[in-house]
Amino acid sequence: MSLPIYFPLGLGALLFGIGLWGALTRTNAVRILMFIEIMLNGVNLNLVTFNRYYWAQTPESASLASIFTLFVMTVAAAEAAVGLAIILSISRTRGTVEVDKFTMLKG
Amino acid sequence: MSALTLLTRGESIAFLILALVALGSTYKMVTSRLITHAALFMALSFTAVAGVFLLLEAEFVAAIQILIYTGAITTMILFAIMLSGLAEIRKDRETRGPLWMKSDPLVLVVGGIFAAFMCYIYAAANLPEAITPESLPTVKAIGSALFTKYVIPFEVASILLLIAMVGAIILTAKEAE
Amino acid sequence: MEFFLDNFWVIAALPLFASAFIAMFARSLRRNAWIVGAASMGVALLWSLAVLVAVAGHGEAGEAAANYLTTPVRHLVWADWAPFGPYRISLGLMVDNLTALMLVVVTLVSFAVQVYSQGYFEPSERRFTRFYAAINLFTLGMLGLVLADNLFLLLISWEIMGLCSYLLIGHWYEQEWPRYGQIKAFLTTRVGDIGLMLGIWMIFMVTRDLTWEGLAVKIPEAVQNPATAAMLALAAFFIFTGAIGKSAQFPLHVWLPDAMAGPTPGSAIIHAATMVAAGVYLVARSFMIFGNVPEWVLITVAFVGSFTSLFAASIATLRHDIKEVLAYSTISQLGYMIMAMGVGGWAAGNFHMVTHAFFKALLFLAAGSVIAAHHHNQLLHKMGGLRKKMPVTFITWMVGYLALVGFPGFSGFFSKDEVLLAAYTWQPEALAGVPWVAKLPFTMALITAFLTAYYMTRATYLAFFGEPRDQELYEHAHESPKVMTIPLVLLAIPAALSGWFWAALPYHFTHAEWMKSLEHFLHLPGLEHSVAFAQEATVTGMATTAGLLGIFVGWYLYAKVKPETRAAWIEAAKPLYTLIRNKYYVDEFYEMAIIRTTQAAARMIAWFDDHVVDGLVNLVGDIGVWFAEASAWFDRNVIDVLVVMWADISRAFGSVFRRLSTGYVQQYMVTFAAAVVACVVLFQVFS
Repeated sequence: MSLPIYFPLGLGALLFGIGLWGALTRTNAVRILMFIEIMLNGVNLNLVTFNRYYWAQTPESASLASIFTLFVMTVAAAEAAVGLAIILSISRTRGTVEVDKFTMLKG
Repeated sequence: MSALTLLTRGESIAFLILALVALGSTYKMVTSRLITHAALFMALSFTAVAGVFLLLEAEFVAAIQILIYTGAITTMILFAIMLSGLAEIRKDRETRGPLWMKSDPLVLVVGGIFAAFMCYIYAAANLPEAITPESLPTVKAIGSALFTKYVIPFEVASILLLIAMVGAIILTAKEAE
Repeated sequence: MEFFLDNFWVIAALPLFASAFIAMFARSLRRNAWIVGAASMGVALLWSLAVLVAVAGHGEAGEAAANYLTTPVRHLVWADWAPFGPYRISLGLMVDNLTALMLVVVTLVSFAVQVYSQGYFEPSERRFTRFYAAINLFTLGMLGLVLADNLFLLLISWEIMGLCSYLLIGHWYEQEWPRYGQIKAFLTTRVGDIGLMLGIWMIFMVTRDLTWEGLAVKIPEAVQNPATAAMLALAAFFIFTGAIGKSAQFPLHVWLPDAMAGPTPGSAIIHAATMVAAGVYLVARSFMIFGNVPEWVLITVAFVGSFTSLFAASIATLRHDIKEVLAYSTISQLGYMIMAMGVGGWAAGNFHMVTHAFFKALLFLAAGSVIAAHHHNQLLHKMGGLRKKMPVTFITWMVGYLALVGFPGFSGFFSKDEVLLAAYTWQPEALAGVPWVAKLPFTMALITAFLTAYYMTRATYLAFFGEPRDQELYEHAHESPKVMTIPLVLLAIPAALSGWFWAALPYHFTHAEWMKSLEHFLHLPGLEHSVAFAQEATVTGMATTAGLLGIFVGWYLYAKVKPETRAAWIEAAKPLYTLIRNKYYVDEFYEMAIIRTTQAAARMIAWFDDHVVDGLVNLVGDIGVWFAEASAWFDRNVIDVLVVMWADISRAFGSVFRRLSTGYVQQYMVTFAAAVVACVVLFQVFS
């Protein structure tokens, strides 16, 4: 690979950082969910990059990243589905999706 | 190899373009006022990252990235926004928090700081030279690995999806009369 | 033909399918269930015939595999489904001569019964589909039993039949008698089943194998050691108790007469071809055990069988209910088969099992036809003169009657002859010192032959001949519909003719070789019987004379002697009459000896429970309460203080830290992200 490894790693880190910042500062629950997906995507990028650069001696080991990424995406999809369902249900009962309006977890 | 030659190689150029698209659309995701726009920018960002996966010779991941993220998740979020019929879901609250938190360029600054921090860690780890693989896995190999060696995680993942589906239906379904 | 032989498992699969199908679609099928049942059984019957022809055509059929076992023509092992460490129990089916013959018998009887039942049941019958589902499952059980290649699968089929007999006997469970009969049948056979299970377990302990092939090799080795031989003899005896239960031998015969409470077609299938034959089949199939273990087991078998046959035949002479006569006749004939096994007449016993299946099923169905035409009256004393009203039923009944009494030329003649011959030539070494004991089974069997002819003549005369004794019932009697008479005719053919397949006698006169091969079809290697023709003729003569004498006595007593004279004779022999009339008080004995004893024992145990065990338990309980009070004091005053102290401490901490828990999700997220970054930094710094 002629592409320096810092390029994709940096892109992954940037995506993660922006997603994290967005998730921390925006208040709309749907949007937070979207940023979480972006963060996961950055992580996937990291995973695939490291696998491609350092762990791809044989086809078998090189396919590990693909398989693991598939599982990450599966979990992400399940999480998005359940998350959206929760958001819809909350918005139905509370009339809002602003996360700073919910303090049900207050101790 | 000088920095300039490195940057002018076809691969690098392609990567930089894709990275710019990804970062730009993610940035727009944070800053756009309308949540539908944010969702569409998210799709664009995913697509660009799928391109990066292609550059990394991970075709399978690129394909499922398009399928699951750009296709499924984006559609689901858009549907949730549009079909729920709640005006509330469409907008962020404008007024909360200090001004600096809303500042658009700060997004990039924070992201950059995080990236720099990570790159510092990578650099400190003294990453070795990349290895040259003999051959890269085909989708067939991945598939057969998935259905033989990793069949149990695979089935567990499918059960997880099923449970998520059932849970989502139960959560969103109106109270049964 | 080879195709059918290769796929012989279809025969067992068909009733399973039919049973499941009928049970599943009972509501939509209703009365049409009989089409599903009869059609699948018809296919199974044709298939079995093809298999029989194919097996008969096989050169190796009937050859010895190992001692007392013929080579299976086809053997199908499906799966090892219960591995016990190094041992395994497989689920296998096999076909050899005996199995091929039994397949035809079972499917033919089942087919006839299923066609017949459609006409037998009233249109108002509510559990029609249930009956068909049960009868198909029953057939599956019997087919599985004859096809099984090991004792374990045999046991499973055995239990399926036990369940189905329960369902069939208790078909009309609103009434008292069927309910009582089904429970009695189930519990009584269970006594034998426990023996069977115990026997199977013991055999497995000794040989570590349950397949017939494995047993045929391992049993002869195991009996070399006297200790194992004794154990195996005990195991064989326990297996025989299973046969006693299922084949209704003395002393477990009591369930069979009460099993008559079920619908007559159900009785036909239970008591002719399937369940009761299962016990005989079990002894026949596991002859590699019986034949090798010490001789006392077979002697027991022979005496139990011969005694049962005489015992039941004597009871049958005084029964008033037409089905009860047939029930005791069944017990008696089963005793014949068991006796034949015991005296080493393996082939004779099986032959009698086959012919008996045909003619007894025929008799039951014909009796059912009479009962159905007679408004469900079963009492012989209200019948009479029915031969004019029901010609087809009468003729078919007569075929079954002649076969059962052993009239020359009919199937029962040949098979009964073989059984008697085997008993006549029996010379066990253990009884060499007392030759008259060794002749006892034959004597009893000969008397049974006489009694059989007598009671059957009596029943036939009372039902079909003479003047109608109940004019009103007679007026309403009518010939049964075609669906009932056709199965009768179908069964009458083998009931009349199947004896000729045992061709020893015709062969003697014609010397046609193919007859010999027919005879050898049921011939078990390792059991050579060479009997002089003179001896054979003697036995045949004695048996035929006994039969004809019985017919004559029966005819004379009921057709010639006046009822008043009969009553006087009965008065003269009052004690004997009462004894037999009450079935030798066996039921009463069980009532007293087993049920009462059990109840008394239960009362004693209850008293013991109340006074001794409960006292101990209460004492232990009191001690426990005392200890508990002591430890409760300790708990309250020591442990609670400590616990409360810790609780106070954590509450103090909690009231400090609960401020952190604001409920705002994003604050949690910030904390989480910061913590992760901090961890990374720390790791970086310290590594």
